[in-house]
Amino acid sequence: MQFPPMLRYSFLAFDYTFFDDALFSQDRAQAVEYYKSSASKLLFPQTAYPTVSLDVMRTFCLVSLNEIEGW
Amino acid sequence: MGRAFMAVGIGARMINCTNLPSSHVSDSRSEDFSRCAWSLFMLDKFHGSSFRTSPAFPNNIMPPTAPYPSAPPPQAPSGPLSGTEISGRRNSLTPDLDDNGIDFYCLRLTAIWASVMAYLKTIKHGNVEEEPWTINSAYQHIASDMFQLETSYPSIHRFKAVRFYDRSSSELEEHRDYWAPWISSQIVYHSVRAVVNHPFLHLRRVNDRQRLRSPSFLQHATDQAILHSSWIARILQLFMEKKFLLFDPFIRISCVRGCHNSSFLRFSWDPELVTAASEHFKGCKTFLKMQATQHLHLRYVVSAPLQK
Repeated sequence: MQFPPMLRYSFLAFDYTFFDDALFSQDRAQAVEYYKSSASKLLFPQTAYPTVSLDVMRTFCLVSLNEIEGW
Repeated sequence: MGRAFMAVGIGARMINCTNLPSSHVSDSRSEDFSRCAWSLFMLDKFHGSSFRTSPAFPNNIMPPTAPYPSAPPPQAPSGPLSGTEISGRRNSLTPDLDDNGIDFYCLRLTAIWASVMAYLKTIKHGNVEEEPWTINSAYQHIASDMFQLETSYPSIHRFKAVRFYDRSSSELEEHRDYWAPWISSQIVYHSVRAVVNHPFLHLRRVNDRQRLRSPSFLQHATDQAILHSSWIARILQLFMEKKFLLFDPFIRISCVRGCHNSSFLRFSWDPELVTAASEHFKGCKTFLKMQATQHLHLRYVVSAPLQK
């Protein structure tokens, strides 16, 4: 299964937001922000294309939910 | 929140501007597309990227593919039915032949919830809406949509028929694919009713002037607000007792709106109502505090306004 970088970053941003582990507790906010912005940088240029791929839609779902629910 | 508006808004509009699964797409891929489309539909309707501009999903228009068929209600536990349950089934006006699955009704309620949020935005921005009892008011449109939904809502999904209160925690967990949207639909249903009938909306002054209000309309709205906010508290209490974990982020948003009614009703002149509303409000706060430990955006809600 393909797992392009934008989808991977958006998944990691979401995962870090809710992953309650001491290992990530200190720099969690920075890590979430880094992954969110990395996903967005790759995602938004895709909107210039006339057709939309499943990965783009999946990334939109994760990025949107993360913006609403997260930090 | 601006980034959320942008991401949801663009995503939702891209769904509408694109040709969703066609014949060359395999079934599993088509299902994935459908899931994404419906997820963006719900994000748009709940978060309200469409409130400020023309809607990404216009009213009564949903994404082109049907939602994935949802699970049927699990077999009810055996045991005698109460008198009201028997008469309720006998007199059911909604035969189950047209059952579209619990997910479908949950999505329709989500669309109605978006209308409620748009109605509140109109009021917040100071636009003088039509009197709620007039035939073309937003209030009446929402009421009409709710009645329309109720008439097509199959009896097998109704509160008494599914007997949620009789189910064990393990049973709920085992059939999570049914119970999660069922709880969602119950909470959203009562929240819609509670919010549009919130006494504050109908008693507030407009442009510093007291408005004339129909006393029977006010009484009706207040009765509805009391009834449905107590239902929200009751359902929340039930699934706290069942220790059923909720992952749907939108239930909590609906709960906050619905619980505000209980907060408001605590200041009533009626001592019985004050006692009941205080109890309901306490239950809602307990629920939201539990949820806030995992869902960070609720920290503000439980730490500021609801502390009062």
